[in-house]
Amino acid sequence: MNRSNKMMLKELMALDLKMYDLQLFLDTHPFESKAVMEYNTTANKYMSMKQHYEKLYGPITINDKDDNTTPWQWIDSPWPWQYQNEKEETK
Amino acid sequence: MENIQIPFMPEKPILAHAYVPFQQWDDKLYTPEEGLMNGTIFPELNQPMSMYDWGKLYE
Repeated sequence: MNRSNKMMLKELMALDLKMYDLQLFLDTHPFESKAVMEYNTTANKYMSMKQHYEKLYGPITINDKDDNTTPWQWIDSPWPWQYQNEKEETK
Repeated sequence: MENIQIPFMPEKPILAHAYVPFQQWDDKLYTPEEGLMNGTIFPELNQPMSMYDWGKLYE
């Protein structure tokens, strides 16, 4: 996993957290239209960035993917223990 | 669903009950990156342990 790959993944994580936090707020404040707007713009950004990421580096989650090709791309991204190995290499 | 505006504190408090103020929307949010580092995108909810340091709460 190279540097720009990791950075983009981190940006996606940040947008994902923002969406989740807004979601929690909206659970108790369903009429707060500014929060709804903020959610929509964030979700929009997230979706387009995720699409871009997946085009470059393969799927992030497998559950919402319906355009898989053969060979199955899911196994191309690093396994959890491979992230660890990478970390140790840079030490 | 009826449009309900959430007050800062309950409008009809009952004696001997404890209350927590309700969060109010504020346009000031952290950037997604700051949010990821602080665990929330709402600056008013970012309350690290250091805020309980001696005397800090009364500043």
